Amino acid sequence: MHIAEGFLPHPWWEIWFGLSIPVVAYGIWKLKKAIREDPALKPTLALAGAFAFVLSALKIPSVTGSCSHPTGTGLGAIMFGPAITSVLGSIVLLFQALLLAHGGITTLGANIFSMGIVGPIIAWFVYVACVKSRMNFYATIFLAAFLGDMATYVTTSVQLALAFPAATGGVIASFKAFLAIFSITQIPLAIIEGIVTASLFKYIKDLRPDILIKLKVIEAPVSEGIVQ
Amino acid sequence: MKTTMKPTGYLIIFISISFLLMLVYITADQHVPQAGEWKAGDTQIVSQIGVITGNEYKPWFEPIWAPPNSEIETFLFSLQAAIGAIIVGYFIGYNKGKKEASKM
Repeated sequence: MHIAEGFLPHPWWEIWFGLSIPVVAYGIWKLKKAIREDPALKPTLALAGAFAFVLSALKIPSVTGSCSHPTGTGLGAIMFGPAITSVLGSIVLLFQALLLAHGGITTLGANIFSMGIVGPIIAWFVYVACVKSRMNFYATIFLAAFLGDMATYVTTSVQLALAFPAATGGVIASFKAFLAIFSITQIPLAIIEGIVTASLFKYIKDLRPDILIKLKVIEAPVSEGIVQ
Repeated sequence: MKTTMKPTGYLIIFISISFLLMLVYITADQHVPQAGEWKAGDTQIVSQIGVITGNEYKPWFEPIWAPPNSEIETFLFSLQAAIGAIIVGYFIGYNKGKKEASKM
């Protein structure tokens, strides 16, 4: 559920592009640096991108009588941080804008800002806070992915509210109206995203714990209990 | 070694639940125009903009290309999911096979 083509008037679509481009450019620089330093990271990067590809393609019915989709950016944010995830999110959004008329080229900046930047930043921030508070590993992943997903759609509501303030009540009234569409629809989907992300992390932890140790997601086996 | 969660962990859980309850509370009195028949939420936005601003909004730019019908759109969404699922499946399958081969 992205902002559709042509749905952000001047100057809002330019503003969101202006805010998103520097972050994505920094993400590309970090991505190239990470691959140069360790080419073995490529399959894991592909996994994070592919996960966002799968989840953002799944239109799931929700409690409000409409459909929406998860974002799948929580995995990338936890493994690689928000900057690199903004690049992965941009690829997914560009694919959908060009081939599916889902989202749009003119609203790409706004959609990258919500799904590729704010969502991953919140997911990463929640992940770091939960690890520091020694929360259970899978509960940490669930919460990070869940809140990252919700943050994406709260941001979309803010973007639409700023562009379309209500005739009476202004931006706040408009924000509440858009939030009613986006956030309530998204709650069950964000729960699904949290569970699926935690499940995938379980697989990675069982099969290739070395990847998570290298990316500093978990600690080496001797002190693994700290973040268990 | 098993460690217990710090109080900040309970605080994060409390803030998360409060955030959800606040979302439900502040949107409880809002009238949501129904898209009907489980259509994508994007379609609700069109009518919601009209309700909020009092004017019908006409998009100023049309998609360069759009799937000609819903079947092709569904096919392309499935293709997107399939591309991602192949990579995720390959990653898991390859590493599972590698792990089991190393046990032999």
